[in-house]
Amino acid sequence: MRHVDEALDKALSPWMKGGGPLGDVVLSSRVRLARNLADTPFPPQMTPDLAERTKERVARAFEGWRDREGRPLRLIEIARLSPLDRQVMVEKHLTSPLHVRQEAGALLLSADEATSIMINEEDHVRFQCLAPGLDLAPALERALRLDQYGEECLPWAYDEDWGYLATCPTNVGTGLRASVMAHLPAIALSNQLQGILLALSNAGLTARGLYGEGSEAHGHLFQISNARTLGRSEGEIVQQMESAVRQVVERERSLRELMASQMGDQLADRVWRAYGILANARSISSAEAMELLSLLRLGVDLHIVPQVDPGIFNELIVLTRPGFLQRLLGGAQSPEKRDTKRASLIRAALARATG
Amino acid sequence: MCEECGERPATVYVAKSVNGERSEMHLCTRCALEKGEIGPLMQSPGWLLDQFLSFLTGITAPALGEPASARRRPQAGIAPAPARCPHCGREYAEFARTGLLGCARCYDAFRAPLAPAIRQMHGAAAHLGARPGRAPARPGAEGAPSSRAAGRGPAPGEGGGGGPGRAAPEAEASRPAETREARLLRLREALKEAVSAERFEEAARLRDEIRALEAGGPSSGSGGAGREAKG
Repeated sequence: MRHVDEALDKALSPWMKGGGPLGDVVLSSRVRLARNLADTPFPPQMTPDLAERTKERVARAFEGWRDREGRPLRLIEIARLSPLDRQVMVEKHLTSPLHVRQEAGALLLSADEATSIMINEEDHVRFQCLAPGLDLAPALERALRLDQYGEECLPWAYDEDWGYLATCPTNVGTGLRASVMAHLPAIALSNQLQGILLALSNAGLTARGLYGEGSEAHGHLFQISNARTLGRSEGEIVQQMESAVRQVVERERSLRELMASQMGDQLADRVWRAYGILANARSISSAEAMELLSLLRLGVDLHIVPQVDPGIFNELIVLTRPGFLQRLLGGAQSPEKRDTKRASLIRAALARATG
Repeated sequence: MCEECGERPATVYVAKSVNGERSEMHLCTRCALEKGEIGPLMQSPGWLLDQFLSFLTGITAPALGEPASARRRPQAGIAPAPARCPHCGREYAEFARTGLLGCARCYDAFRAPLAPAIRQMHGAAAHLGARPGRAPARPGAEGAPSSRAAGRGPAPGEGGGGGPGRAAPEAEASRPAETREARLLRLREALKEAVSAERFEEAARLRDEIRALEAGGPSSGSGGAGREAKG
């Protein structure tokens, strides 16, 4: 339980420290591989007893795994987590909303939180590897290595035609979902979002908001991922995705420059107002905080407010989520209490980052 | 501004040449979708599943919440499927409702309706990429990032004692001979090309050839079933 607290106490996962390639636009990259056991019914068809056994079996298969510093994966069992802890796990993107509802679900988590294995989500096993910035290839490499490690004692369901079999046929083949989290304020503010979404869609990619709530993206944060998993190799999928995302980054950067040169005063005004509110507000909602943090981050990237450390944004995004705040406050709280706490956390973080 | 509705900002530029007459249009995404100038947006991960389920049931799923009249429904008669998977008992109706299968063998039980649906959803009928029992470092059969991704290199510490020498319990017990391996590589390459060019008959022939070649090893069963049925 002590280990669990460790992962939940900090808003920032250790791997997130440091920008990564194209870090001014792409916050993080993620690779997920879905795998299932050939000899066991898939999670929707499992009895609770089988689900328990599957959890133990998969956990045992990875007992000997070590990261490059020789540290093992630690097991976090969903059933042992409070509802608030489960919410925080989702807010930190350590696991999914579906997974935290599975009583026989578990997570194997690496010390740096960059590598994890979801057990009994929609599929028996989902490897998840993260990296800062746009850096999908090394994340894929890590995930494929986990897959090979697991295959030595777990019989993956595999079909000559359809590759790795998943609970949902939308995931067959490679079982690979590659995604990046991108901050696209200039594209959004200049009303070019629909065009970008369309171009991504034509390239076989989907885009949605940070926490997946419809197409509304809080803080201009978008998750871009591949739609199809069958018919192209893992390497091709990742390569195609990186080149598409690079184009989006180019567009975002050139629009930022355009904004700065054509409406520099207005932009500076909006950024400084955002800074003013964030640095002084005594109560702030999650949505307003996200919107203003996005503007401030844009201002930092454009050197309008040079003295703020860009690293605090990733932290504040998680720190100011409802679940994390309530956990800091020691339990369920009214929205008013949360808004007050959120404002004070942001003021403190900004004071630290500008100090 | 969109030339069609005059309300939303134009985000799509359409240039056409019909009978030598050129025309241009600036449309918003919504109008472009309605006029069939662009395909539906894949805005959410659920989109693909919706398309898949609608294909299975023959009902058109709306794209972006509007009647997708411009989209063709290619499939009317769906191949019949057993009412349930004989292995795990998953009902076909349950699968058609949720898109979730019950076990690996459901793919065999429901293969007839699944095959066209999977092909339409993924735009492909055959898997390319990693497979169980693959060699730790693949010779450059695929693009640079792929071989980089699959190749372990020195693998600094990760994976611990799980050396590549330990064969997977279900995989081929013996390593294939060099020449056979080379031939397999070539065939897989050809299969990949055939699939991407949508020459599915040729692809099927190549796939059978690959299978026959692989069956030189111990298991000759049909794909996944062979692996599961180890008893």
